[in-house]
Amino acid sequence: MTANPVAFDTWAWWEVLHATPTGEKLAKKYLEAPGVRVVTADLALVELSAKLAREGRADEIHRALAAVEAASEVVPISLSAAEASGPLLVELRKVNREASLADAVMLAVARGEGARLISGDQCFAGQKDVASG
Amino acid sequence: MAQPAEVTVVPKRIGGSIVLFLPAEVVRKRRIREGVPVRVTIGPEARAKALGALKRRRRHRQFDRHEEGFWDDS
Repeated sequence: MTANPVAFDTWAWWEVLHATPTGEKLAKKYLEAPGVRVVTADLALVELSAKLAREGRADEIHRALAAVEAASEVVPISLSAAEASGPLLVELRKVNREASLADAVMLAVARGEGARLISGDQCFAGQKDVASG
Repeated sequence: MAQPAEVTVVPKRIGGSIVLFLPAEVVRKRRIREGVPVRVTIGPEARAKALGALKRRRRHRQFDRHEEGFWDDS
């Protein structure tokens, strides 16, 4: 593994799993590129499950989560990421009042892994280590 | 379940050697033998399978954590 690691937010996986134009670009740039470490916070799996269930697609949950698990390194919320999440939420909310704890956790986990967060979430605007592509 | 087998792989470009533990059925299927260099690819092929794992709806909407409202109380 030589390239800088990236952490896929739920947003990124949603695009990849559905093979949208954005998802295809992300897959080509990160998943299909050798040497790129791709990590996923376990929280993203929960969100994918919740999203699919809400859309009446519970039968697709296992397939989606298995695909993410096979394609990336699923990492738990570490102690240091948990510690960082609280202050990070306060910081994010100074910029965007809609920032949620899940946003802070995603960014904290990514930073804990030394990874750039791949997300299209507007609440990360201005964060240097977040990119949408 | 098959027992894992010990296999020595010599990466051509790196020039060193590493030890991989592979399932016996993989060793048999790929005809891997100790001391014989083999090409090992990790990642890209399997990772690419995630692309399109779910069927896209006609009206695709990007995942928006805030719109979903899963974390309203936070």
